[in-house]
Parts: sequence; C-alpha cells; structure tokens
Amino acid sequence: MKQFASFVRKEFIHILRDPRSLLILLVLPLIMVLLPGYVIKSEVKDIRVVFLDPSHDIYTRQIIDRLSVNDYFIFKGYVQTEAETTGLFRKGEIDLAVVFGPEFASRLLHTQDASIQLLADGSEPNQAGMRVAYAQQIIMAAQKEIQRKAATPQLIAPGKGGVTSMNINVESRMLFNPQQRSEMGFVPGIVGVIMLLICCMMTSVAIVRERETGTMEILLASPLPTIDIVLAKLTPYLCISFINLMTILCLTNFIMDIPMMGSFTTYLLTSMIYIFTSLMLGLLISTCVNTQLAAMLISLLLIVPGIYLSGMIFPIESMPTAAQVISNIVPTKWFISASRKIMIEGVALQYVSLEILALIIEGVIFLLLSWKFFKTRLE
Amino acid sequence: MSIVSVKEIRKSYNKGRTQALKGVSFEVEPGEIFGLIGPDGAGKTTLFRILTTLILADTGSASVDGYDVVKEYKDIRRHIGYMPGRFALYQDMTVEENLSFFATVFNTTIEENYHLIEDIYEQIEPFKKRRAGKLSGGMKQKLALSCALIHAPHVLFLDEPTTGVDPVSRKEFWGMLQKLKRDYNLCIVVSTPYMDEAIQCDRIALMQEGTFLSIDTPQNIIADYSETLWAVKSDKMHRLLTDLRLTPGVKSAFAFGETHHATIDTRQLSIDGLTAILQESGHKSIDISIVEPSIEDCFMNLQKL
Amino acid sequence: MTDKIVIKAEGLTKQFGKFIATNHISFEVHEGEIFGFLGANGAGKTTAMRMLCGLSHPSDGRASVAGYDIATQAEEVKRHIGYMSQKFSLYDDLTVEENFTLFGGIYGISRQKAKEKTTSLLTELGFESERKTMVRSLPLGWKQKLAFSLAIFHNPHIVFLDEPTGGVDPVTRRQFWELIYRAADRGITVFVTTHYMDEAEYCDRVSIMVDGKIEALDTPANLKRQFGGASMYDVFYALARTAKRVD
Repeated sequence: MKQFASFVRKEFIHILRDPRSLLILLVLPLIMVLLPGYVIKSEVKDIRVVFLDPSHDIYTRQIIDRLSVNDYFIFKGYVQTEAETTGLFRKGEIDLAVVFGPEFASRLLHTQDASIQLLADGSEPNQAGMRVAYAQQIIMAAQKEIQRKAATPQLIAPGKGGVTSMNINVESRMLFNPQQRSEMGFVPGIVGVIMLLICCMMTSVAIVRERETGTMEILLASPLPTIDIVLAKLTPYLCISFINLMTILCLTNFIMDIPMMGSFTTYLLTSMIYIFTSLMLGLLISTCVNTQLAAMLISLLLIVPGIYLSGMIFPIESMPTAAQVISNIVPTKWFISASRKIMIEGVALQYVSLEILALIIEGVIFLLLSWKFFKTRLE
Repeated sequence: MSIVSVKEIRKSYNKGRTQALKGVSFEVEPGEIFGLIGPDGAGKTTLFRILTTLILADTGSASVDGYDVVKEYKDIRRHIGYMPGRFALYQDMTVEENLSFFATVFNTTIEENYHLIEDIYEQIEPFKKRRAGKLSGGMKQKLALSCALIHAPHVLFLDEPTTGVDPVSRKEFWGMLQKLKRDYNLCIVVSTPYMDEAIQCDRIALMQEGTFLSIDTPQNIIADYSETLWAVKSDKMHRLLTDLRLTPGVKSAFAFGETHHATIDTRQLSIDGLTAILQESGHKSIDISIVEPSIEDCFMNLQKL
Repeated sequence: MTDKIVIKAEGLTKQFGKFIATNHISFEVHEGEIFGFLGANGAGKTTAMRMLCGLSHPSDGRASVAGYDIATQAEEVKRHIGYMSQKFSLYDDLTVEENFTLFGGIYGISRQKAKEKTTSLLTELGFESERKTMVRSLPLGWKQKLAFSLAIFHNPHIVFLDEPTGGVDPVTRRQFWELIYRAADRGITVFVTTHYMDEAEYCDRVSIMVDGKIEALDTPANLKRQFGGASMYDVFYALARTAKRVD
C-alpha cells in the first residue's frame, strides 16, 4: 500500500511539475464546452415564432403568452394552415412554428393526449435544435403550472383516484431535414470526447513514457507488482477527468443554463463507468506500443473516427448500416446516447441500462486484453 | 555457491536475424566484481536484461542469487540492484524524491540502508532539492547508483555506468565500487566499453558480437597473450604506422597513445632490424621497446582471430 | 598543417543566467591541424563547440571559423564546416546511399556528383557492398566511420567531432583515427572531443578545459613535460581534479 501511495504521489509530481500540460488538461475542456456553447447561444436569440391554434382555448392562450413574453422569442402572429408556415419558413421570415392539436384543452383535461407540434427549419440543425429545446422547456414549465392549478381542487378531497397526471405530447419536426433530431447534443458529445482524450490518450502516453525514458526497466526489475504500476498510473487521470466532469457540469448548469433534466447521480454514475472504459482503452493502447508518439497517434486514430461514429456530429440513424454496426464498438456512442437521455430527456437509470451494460462490457474486454498483453518483462 | 550462474544463453532478435548472444556461460562468485568488456553491440545489455529478468533468453539457463531467472523472477527482483545503460531516473523529480521513491518501491526507507549509500549520497546531498534532470553527468551517475543500492541488494548490475563520463569521474566511480565490494562484500556485475577499466575488475569477460573472446582474471588474460609486442616511436608517427604495416615480420600495427603497438614475428624481425629499416625510410628519433600488453591489446588480438 | 588560422576564439563566453558555462576562452587552430578539445563533463566543452558551429550566440567575446564571424555570419559558418557526434550521425531508416544523397543535397552537391563521390568514398572504405544497406543494421563502428565520411562529404574547411568513438571497438576506433589523419592530410582541420586519453595523444595540439576555462593548451608532448605526467591521462587527471564546479 505504501508502495502504491508513493507511486501515485510520483505520478502527481510528474503532472504538477509540467504546468503547461496541466493547464491544457484543465482549461482546454472548458474552452471546448464554452466555445460551441457560446456560438450556439448567441445564435439562438430572437426566435421568430408563429402559432397555429385551431382550438383557441385557455391553455393554448396560456402557452402562447408564455412563449411570446419570453425574451428569446419574438411573436410573429398566427397562421391558419401548416402550408402557410412552410411558406414563411421558405421566405426566412420565421424560425419556429408552434402547432397546437385540435381540442387542446379538453384533451388535456380528459384524454391526456393533447399535442403540440414544434416545427423548425432543419437546414440549420444546431440552431433548430436549440430553438426547439427552448420552446420545449417553456411548454414544459407551462404544463407544470397548468397541472398544479388543475390539481388544487382535488387536493382538498384526496380520493382514491389521486392526481391525474397531465401530459402534453410535444412533438418536434424539422422541416427540410426531417432526419435531424432536435437535441442539445453538444454537451454530452464534448464530455465524451474530452474524457476519451484525457483517459485514453494521456494514460497511454504516461505509461509509454516510462518505457521510453528507460525508467520502466528499473521498475520492472524491482519487486513492485505490475498491477501497482498500472493502477498508480491511472489514478491521477481518473482524478483529472473527474475534476473536468465537475467543472463542465457546473459550467453548463450555472453559466450556460443548460438544464440537467435527469438525475445528477445517474449521470455521474454513467460518466464514471465511461471513464473506466476509456482508462482501460488507454491501458490497452499502452501495452501495444513503445513510443509516446505511437501512443498518441493510435489514440487519435481511435478518437477521431470515434467522434464521427459516436452520433456526436452525425445522427447514427442516418448512417449506412455498416457504419451503424461499427458504431456499436465506439464507447463514446454509448456514453453520448446515455447522457442525452439523462440530461435532455430526463430518464431514470433503468432506461440507460443498455448503454451502461455496453460500456461495462467494453471496459472489461479492454481490461482483460491489457492484462493479457501487459508485459512483466520488456518484450 | 555462485551468485550469478549463466549456462549457454542464446538470444536473438528480429526473428533470429540478429543474434545478440550466441551461447555464453559464466559464473560470478560472492564478493566479486565481474566485468563484461566489449564495444557497443557486443550483447552486454541483452545479457544484463536477461539476468535482471527483463527479457527471456531463447535457450540456456541462468540463475541469480540462487533463483532461476525465468521461474523465480519475482525473488530475483527483490534482491538485485540494477542501473540501466541510459540515465533512467525521473528528471522532473528532485534528487531526494527520486531516492525516496525508489526506496519505497523496494519496500524500504532511506534511513534503513543509509550506511550503504552514505559515502556516495553525501556528495550529492547538498543538491537534494535539485531536479535530477538538472544534475551534471557525474552527479546523475551517483544518484543512479544510490537508487540502485538503497535496498541493500545482493547483486548489483551496472550496465555501462561510465560511458560518456570523463576519466576523472570514471576513476572516482570505480573507487566507489571497490569500496562497496570491500566494505559489504557486494557482488557487482558491470559492463564497460573502456578497456582500461578492465583492471578494476576481479574477473572479466571480453565480449564481441554475442560471444566471449576470453573469460578470466585480467592478469591471466594478459599473461596468456601469445604475441611479441613492441612499442614503436619515431618523429613521424602517422607515416610510421603505414611503414610498419609494410615491413615484413610486422603482423599488425595500431596506434596506441603516444606509441604504436606492433605484433612481431620474431623469426623475421629483430629490434635492431626494424630500427634499420625505419631509419632507411627516413624516420628519426626511433624508439622501440618490448611492452607488456594491455587488455586492449589482448582484445584486439583475440578479435582478429 | 599550415600557418593559416581557421579558428580564432577571443574571450569567447557563454553565460546562462548566473552560470558561466564558457568563461573567456581564447585559442587558435591552424589549417589541417587535429585539435583535441578535452575537459571533464560539465567543463563547458559542448557549449563552446555549439558556439563555434554557429548554433549558439556568444554572450561575450568573439570567434571566427573558416574566416566567418560566428555571431554575425552563422549561416556562412555552417556552410563551411562539417559536424558529427556520437548521438546523431546518420538517419537509421535510410540506406547508406540515401544518407549520402541527402547530405549532398543539403550542401547543394548535384545528384550526379554526389553519386560519383559516394562510390569513391565507399570504395575507399571497402564498403561498396553495403551501399543499399539500411544504416540501422550496421554495427556502430561502421556507422561512425560512414558518419565521418559524410561529415566531410562537402569538403568543409573544418570538421567538428563530438566524442566520435564512444563505445566503438578498439580496432574500429583506430581505423576511425586513420580516417581522421587522412582528412587532415587533405587539409581539413579536425576539432575533436574525446574521453579516450590515448586518442588525445593522436592530436597535434590539445586543450583541456576546467570549469569553463582553458587551463592548458599545447602539444601532447609539451603538456606531459609541463605537468610531469607519463601520459595524457596523468595530465588530464592533474588538471580536472582541480575542478570546483559540481554542475
């Protein structure tokens, strides 16, 4: 244990004595999150919105009012048909159309299938996604308020029926680019890539460095168990990626106002599993190469196509079948999918069990392979 | 019992294309300084790596401190000190941090075996807060030796500890090794490309291209030298070498510091005879004497065969 | 050796912060001379040599190499010198011939001329059969001999050799020195550092640096007489032992 602790301390010394790398490790992730966040945020202001409201009732009015008074939205009037909105989109006069379903209020109160359709211009997918997401958020808030008001009389006489849950079915549709999903995908994606960079690339480089400078020779010729060497090498990067995760979450939550719809704990758990998988991948790479340069190149060769196949930039659904199959081996895909579900859709742990399982299986496979390849000798 | 025992070790790289060791055998006794003397590419580092359990030999067997290098490598790793050929310490850590790190790696503390390294470490202690990367060559070498000694190993393996080091520091380093041997009866296996360091060892193996040319005490190797060796000097040293090589009866001639060493077939040539020949070719201040061969002469003589 | 001076250093100094690596050294080297540049580790040899090769700007003093000022005409200096060290000599992943072509190209020798010269050099070394061999698979001694031939491939006025024979076997080491002699005979000035004291004897003149200063400079015979030593080793030892500098 003492051996291990002293080894971990040594690893931290290496990192702390190299302030430039440390700065990059800690600050780069923030820039990566802030930059696209900033760009998108500045674009998403002044959303010009029209409404198609066939039912004209109290609830639709309430929702329209809420959207219209919001700083981000500019009320552009009512339309009568969907075709009319398409025309407005084409002319570039509006950014978003809110289409209420028929008999909105009564359906909301009785059959719970009131629906709203959000139409956006899918040819600008990122902005469209943000616009839809904002509208969605406001509609959700409106729904909660409606629900609270509607539930109050029932609270006076709590019966067996309980509170009827209300559900507005918000559906978004991208015009002109129907495949594009609406999502605030960049945060989960960037977290996924950063973790891979730090855990996978940095760890593999750190392990290989010992081999390159010759210190591995002394370590191997010592009674230090190889497992200690490996674990001690992983520890600092585990810490750094955890710090990064936390700072990114604080940043998105408090400064960029990107909400965390699901449970924080669930997200954290998923991230830790993903970090484990990435660390194991880094370990595996380090067992296969002998130079830091090679470790870095292999990491990049895995990370870059990984970005394309992870669904961060291009939706997986629109990829050719072969690419879709291959994307399953990219850990980032599973992480991004899980974090989108948790952060944006707000689902509970059981709904991301497939992703978590996939990450664990991959992590264990990487671990076993590294175990097999890791040399207790030099060759 | 031998501390190190090597039997018919062979090792090749690149799927057998490069034969690094072509079947070497030797024993090292307790309290002995054993030298592997040979140029780069002789196979010294490969041999060290096999003995320090870092690589596996293709065939043959070896044991260190009574343990087999293949099966009982973990026991060996507990009891050996190893200083690889390159300066392999953490450059970004201070002198003190390096030493205490290696002490913990070997499950010991600096205090526990301080007496072993005291003489060596004292010289670098004033710089204990300095990063290892900023030390001079001689000090790095002392730090590396301290780190290799900190756990009181039974055998010390030093791979070319004096390469690239100036003659004064080299002499000092050998002084430290002699003291370790004298005071602690430590067994040291050391390699060097500098032939003049051979006399510092109790026994040596002259190595070339994966084989031992000879293995014995330096004195015996010199005594076994079969040629007649002359040291020849004149006022035109450079031309003298060419002229010597052209003289019948001179088997070989090489520059050797301020004189040239020539091996002579005494049936064909006498000192007076050579003097006459050289005078005839215009050399002046000719000085020829019979010399005792050095290890380098022996190496060159064996190398030719 | 001629009377023409090809290296002239006057109070050459290099200071890093408070640390004076090379402390006002002055010396002259003649054309065709084999000049041994000795000193303990850390005495300031490498720093001085880097300045003379035009790779590092002096803090004080001046020096000219092949008639060019090392501070103001560094590019001219580089064009007229050759350099070889133990650490860097040849590209391992190129063949012998490719290395020669490459260096020929660097110094602006035409392909055809480089080819002819390569052939004559390799023949001279008895190495023609290895023309297409990858450098990495050659023994060190051969690499060093080739590297030396390469360093003088463009007929420089001066060739700087930084510990060229470290780790080389005794016979090849001597063959290497025979190459040095041959180059000197052709008028190339050889500026060489070494840790082998027998090699110091082969130099026309030897300087010994201690703590950044040149403490002795003369022919090996005179130095031995001056310091009362039987060999250059004794001379070196007597001087280097006085070193105060620990880093």
